[in-house]
Amino acid sequence: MKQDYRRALGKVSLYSVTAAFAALVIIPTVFVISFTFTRWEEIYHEIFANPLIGNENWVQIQRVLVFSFKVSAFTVLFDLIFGIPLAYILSRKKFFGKTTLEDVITLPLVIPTSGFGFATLITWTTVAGLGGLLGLKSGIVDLGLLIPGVNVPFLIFIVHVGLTLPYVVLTIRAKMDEVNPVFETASRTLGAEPLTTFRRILLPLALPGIFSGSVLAFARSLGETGATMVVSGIYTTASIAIVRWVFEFKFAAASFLGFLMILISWALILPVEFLVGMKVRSRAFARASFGNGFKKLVLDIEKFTSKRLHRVKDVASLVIVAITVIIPILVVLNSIIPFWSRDPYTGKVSGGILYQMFGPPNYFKALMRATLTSFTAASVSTYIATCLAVPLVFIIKRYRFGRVVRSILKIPLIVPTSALGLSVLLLWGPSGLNLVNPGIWLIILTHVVFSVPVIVEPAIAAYEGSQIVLFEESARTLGATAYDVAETISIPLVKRGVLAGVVLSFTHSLGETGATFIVMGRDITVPTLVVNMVEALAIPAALFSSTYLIAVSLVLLLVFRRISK
Amino acid sequence: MPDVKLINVTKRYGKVVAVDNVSLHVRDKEYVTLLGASGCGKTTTLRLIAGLAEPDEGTILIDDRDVTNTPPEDRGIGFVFQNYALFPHMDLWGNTTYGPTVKGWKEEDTEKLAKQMLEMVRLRGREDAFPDELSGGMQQRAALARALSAGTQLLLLDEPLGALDAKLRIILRYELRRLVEDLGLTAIHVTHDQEEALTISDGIVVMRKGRVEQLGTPLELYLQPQTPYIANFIGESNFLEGIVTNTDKKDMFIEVPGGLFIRTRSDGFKIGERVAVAIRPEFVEIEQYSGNDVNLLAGEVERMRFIGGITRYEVRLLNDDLIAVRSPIESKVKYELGVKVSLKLNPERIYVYHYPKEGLLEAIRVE
Repeated sequence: MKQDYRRALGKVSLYSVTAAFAALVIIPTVFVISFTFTRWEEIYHEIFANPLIGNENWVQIQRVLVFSFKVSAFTVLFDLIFGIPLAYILSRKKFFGKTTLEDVITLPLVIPTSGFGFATLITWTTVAGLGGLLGLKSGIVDLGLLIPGVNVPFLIFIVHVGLTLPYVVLTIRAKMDEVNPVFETASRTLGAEPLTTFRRILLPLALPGIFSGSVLAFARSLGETGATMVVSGIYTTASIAIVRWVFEFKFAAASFLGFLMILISWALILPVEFLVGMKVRSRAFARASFGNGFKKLVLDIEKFTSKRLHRVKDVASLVIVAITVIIPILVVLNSIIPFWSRDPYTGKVSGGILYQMFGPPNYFKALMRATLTSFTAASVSTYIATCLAVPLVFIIKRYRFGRVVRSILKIPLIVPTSALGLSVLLLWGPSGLNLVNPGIWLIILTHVVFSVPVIVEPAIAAYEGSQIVLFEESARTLGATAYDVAETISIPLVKRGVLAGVVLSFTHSLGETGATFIVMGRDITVPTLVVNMVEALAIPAALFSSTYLIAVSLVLLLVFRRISK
Repeated sequence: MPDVKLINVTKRYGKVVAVDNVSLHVRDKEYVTLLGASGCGKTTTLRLIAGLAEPDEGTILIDDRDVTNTPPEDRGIGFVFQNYALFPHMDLWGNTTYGPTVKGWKEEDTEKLAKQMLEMVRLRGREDAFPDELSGGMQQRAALARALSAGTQLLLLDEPLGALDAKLRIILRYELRRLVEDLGLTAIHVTHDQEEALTISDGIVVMRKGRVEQLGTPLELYLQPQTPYIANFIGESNFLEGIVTNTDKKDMFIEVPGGLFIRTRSDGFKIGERVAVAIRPEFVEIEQYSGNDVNLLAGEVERMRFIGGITRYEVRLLNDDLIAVRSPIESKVKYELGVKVSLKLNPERIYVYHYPKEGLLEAIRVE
């Protein structure tokens, strides 16, 4: 009798968690897709056969899509070139300042992106940045500068590299840490130079990490909105286009663009995800023969590089970190003082921080209000997501359909955030179910969608890393009931993982811009406020707010370190 | 013609001295074992020879070439790792041809040698198997083939049989030895298994706390243990404490507690000196009780066990010391528990040492 009662209770909780998961995470993610089918008529007339502009919307959609994918592909390529050596250094070398380097690399994950974008903007394009440092009267690059040959705007590119490099480095490094160094040692005893060893042994064994790191970075770059808006100038990425078109009430175009973005990223990313799950194996017999000469040449180059140029990779990787992360942050912090009372170049008091923050524009009040909104939204959405994520972890590990749940959970992470925001808006907002109006509650609902997977993944890693099943079984043999086991063994063991996820989710939520722009209504958050300041050319105010954001995220990083240690 | 010399080599890890002023000379075609308990520095010594670690002091010579700071890939060695470290993402062929390939050998030569090596370890026909598809014994042989296919004459083996089960370990032990002999290789083999070391080696280096405790042939270590530690670690020994009471050119008398006397060859000890005496159980004869005398110790049988072809007695002496005795199983008389017996010592096989400063128990402790 009691058994039946328990089993029924178990079933009820299983169903309710699954239902909540579907309602809060899955349906909001994919709703924008269904929108395309249910409202096809409207979309067709708006985009392909507009009575006024013909298919001009379609032309624009194609243009921004091509542009976005080009930027992302190029970013990931660059990430890999510098991220792989960086991951290698972090995984295999011991050196002074390693923890600091790790912190610096993690920093872009916790700094709200618009603040980061602003830092990059003034570093490169204004006299307060590198230009002034080099004694020029202007910034060292123009806002519209394109990288020659590939026609990718320099600023967008460098911001995307800074923001996505941590995903590549941290994922590949984690995978490299899993690879037993004895294989590399064995390779060297067999006569392989360090670089040959890297190419033949570590690289193939770390390949799954390289794939998943690239996927994360690609998705992040594709969906990046906050920093991109600040530095984009005249260029428009797909994510920004969605935000702009929503503001212009061009819902049909925005949702169709979102639909295409989701579809194309899935088509690119899901096959890679599938590859990641496979064992890396190479059959020597099937390997093509390149002939003795070519092989010898490769080996000679590797020998030369290993012996003579082994510092180059260290230096190059560190320079990238310095350029993309350290210098922009230093420039912002360094600009606070000269801008404090007046614009140092024109001498106008109205161009100073004091005037803009506390004077008539009173940005300080707006900043405080936005802080309240941001923290409330981040806390509540993280809380809801945690309540959903913890039972999900156990469902994923206990039930056979858990694998499916886990792969579904990857979807919100690869959906561009502005498409996600649009999807949530269309589902819950006035034109959908009409349950929630744009504002803080819709922000929370949106953030829950990506927070759940952000918490679940590290928790699962903790679950798998701690031999939890073994301990659970031994607790059972000692007489603990299933409930006791969960309370005394399982939950304490995944606690660290969950906490790490909670901090990540909180910072993610705090810095999110793309989706938030679409769903926030009048409840402006701090990162969106910074974008607004830049667009209103209130540079000193943006300077102050960015410093504020950086300071807040440094505190969060400290907390993160404490917990994940 | 590999010839390996270590001259006063020291390696520290922080405050821990892993290898402490070790000098060694392994000659061409010798099979030498580094033997010791875990943490004695034997693996570190092997890694120093391979170039996987760099010494803090001292010199390492291979074929009279100073390789102290040469990276492993340039030392021309073959190394078999404890768990083999077969590359998991390459099949057996990929693993076996790896060395020649990364050294840039011609494809034809590579293929010929790899085939030859696989033939030798009886793995031809399994070329496209991945490591996790091979049994433990096959993996071990594959690791050997891979190490050898790089064309080395110097084979370094780190507990190469440690991961196998007991029976297979013994079979592969002889196989390994034969292979090294057939190919005319020089081998340095690290193990903690003294039986393995005794059966396989030309020479054994017993290490303890980073130092060389004794080096010699298996028989030398067994019959002439130079320290109490070796007497205890190689084979088995009973230990007694005593005082030298008399000594002349030929003989020396030692009194052990309980008024018992031991006579053995005189060996430079002074009268009144405190000594430790080691006696191997197989060099003690158990006899019918005939009281105490010089080299005749009376006691009572306290324990008795049959182990394979011998009977092992433990006899409690009147002074409360416990002496183990090994006696062939076919010996006519069996002694029951509680029976009084006399133990006869062979004066040629009694080892006497200066009493160790750190105490006898500490001196023989196997950590």
